[in-house]
This record gives sequence, structure tokens and C-alpha cells, in this order.
Amino acid sequence: MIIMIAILIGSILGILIGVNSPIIPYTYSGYLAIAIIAALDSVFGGITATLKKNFNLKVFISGFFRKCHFIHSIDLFRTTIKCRYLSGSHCGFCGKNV
Amino acid sequence: MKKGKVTMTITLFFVCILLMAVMFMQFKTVEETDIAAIESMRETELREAIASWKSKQEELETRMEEVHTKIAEYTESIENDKEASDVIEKELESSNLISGKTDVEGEGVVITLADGEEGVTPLILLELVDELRYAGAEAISINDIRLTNMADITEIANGTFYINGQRTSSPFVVKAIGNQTYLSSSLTVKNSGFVDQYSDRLRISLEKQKRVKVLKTNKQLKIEYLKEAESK
Repeated sequence: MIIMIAILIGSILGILIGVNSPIIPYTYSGYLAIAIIAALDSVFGGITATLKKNFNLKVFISGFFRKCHFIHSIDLFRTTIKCRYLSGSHCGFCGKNV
Repeated sequence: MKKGKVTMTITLFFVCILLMAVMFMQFKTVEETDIAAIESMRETELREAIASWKSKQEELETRMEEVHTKIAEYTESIENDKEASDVIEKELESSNLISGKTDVEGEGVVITLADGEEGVTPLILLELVDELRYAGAEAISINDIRLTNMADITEIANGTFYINGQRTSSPFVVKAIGNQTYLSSSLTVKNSGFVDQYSDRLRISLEKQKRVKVLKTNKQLKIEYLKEAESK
């Protein structure tokens, strides 16, 4: 119960911070988008775990940040080999195994 | 378990803040950035844009060429006008030089005539002047009185001469500007030249000089009866 409240309040606070924050340079927003996808992936993984009753906080947190890091590395690699398109599903799939 | 739950609550709380904040920052950025439009322009659109810019540039270039040629034309015509006026100026200059309105200088000869056994007469002076003119003298002065077209040499009384209305007397320093060689050689022809003819009667000295200065005339050139003849 309290967790729900915590999540709700956290979300509201996050929204407030996001709306009032300064604009990020356009180049970085690309990376930001991909990081959000990775984070959402983590969140949904966490929800699944909760429903299966085997939610492990450590796995969740570490996975969260590890996925973000991983996805940034993939993106950097993409620009290096000059590959223009990389779908989010690909990233998610790779990230799941990380 | 309570402690675990608290940790979990706090962790989830912060994770939510982070996630939501980042998400909305991204929304805001995308909304307010317009560059996304350029990035999403397809190749064909870009090609069309480049083609239109190119044709515009070509048009401007042709216009610029036209304007340049026009400018060149105008400068040419200005120069031509200037040329015409230059020519007129030069003519005026040379007319002034010849007519005696200005001081002139150049190479030439200086002849001094002084009374000897006999006195100098106007006729002798006129003969000298005639010889010099025959030899191509361009300007002549006697005792710094410029001999113009209409200058006259008269003797009023014994020894008092009037040249072009100005009084002067012996000795006569005749300056002539022209080709040194021609002038001096025509005067010093054996036996029949001026010097030989009059050397026993007068004291004559002939000197070639690199810079002979002949002064301008003091008399005003007045034209009362002259006018340009009608060409038929």
C-alpha cells in the first residue's frame, strides 16, 4: 500500500521537476530518449517480478542503471559505425539479457 | 521485513522521481526544438531545396555580369570624354606656347649683336630673325622682347629701337629656341651665312645653349578685324 503511495508521490514530483527543468541540447535528447526506454524496460521487468512474487530490489536497481549504461554504449557504437537506425525493441531485447 | 519494505519504498520513490523527471524533460525538449523538422526532411525535399537555391544563385550571377558590363561602359564613356578634353587642352597649350602668351624654354642659340664698324639696323635684325625662322626656330626674343606674329622692329632715332612697341637699343641679345644644330649651322654657312656676311661690320657672337629661356610677350594680343573665314 505504502509503496503505491510512494510511487505516486514520486511520479508527481518527477513530473514537476521535469516540466520546470531547463531544455537539454538537442543532441543529448537523443540519448535521453533511449535511456528512458531502457528505464521503462526495467520498470516493467520489476512489475512482472512483483506479480510473480519474486521481486528482488537489488536486481531491479542494478538492472535499471545497468540497462541505461548498456544502451548508451550501444548508441555510441551505433554512431561510430554510422548505422542510422536502431529500433528500440532491439535495444530492449539486448538489454534484457544484460 | 519492515526495514526491507522501507528501503524498497524509498528506492522506488527516488526511481519514480528520476524516471518521470527525465521523461518530462524529454517531452519538453522535443516540443520546443524545431530542428527535428530538418532532421526528418527526406532526401527528395533536400534535393529540391538545393536545386532552387542553385537556380537563384545562377540568376543573380547573370545579373551581376550585366551590371558589371554596364559599369565598364560608363567608365569607358567617361574616359572618352576626358580624352577629348585632354586633346583640346593640349592644343590650347601648344597654341599658347607658339603665340607667345607663356614663357618658354628649350635648347637653342643666343646671338649677341653689337655695333661695330656700323650700327645695327632694323633690316639686319629682320634678316637674322628670318634666317632663324628658316632654320626652324620656334620662339625668338630680342633683348627679352618676345617676337610674336605681329611684332614689328622699327628704329625711331639713331640707336633707339622699338620692338613690338617696347623700347630697346644696342647691344641686341637674340635668343632662339629650336634645333641647336640647324640654327647654328644655318647662321654659320661659309660666306653666305649671316655671321660671315655681317661679321666685318658688326660684332657678332653665337652661343649654343641647352636651356634658352624666351619670355612671354608683354603686349596684349588684340584681334579687331580678324574673324574666322567661312569654309566653302
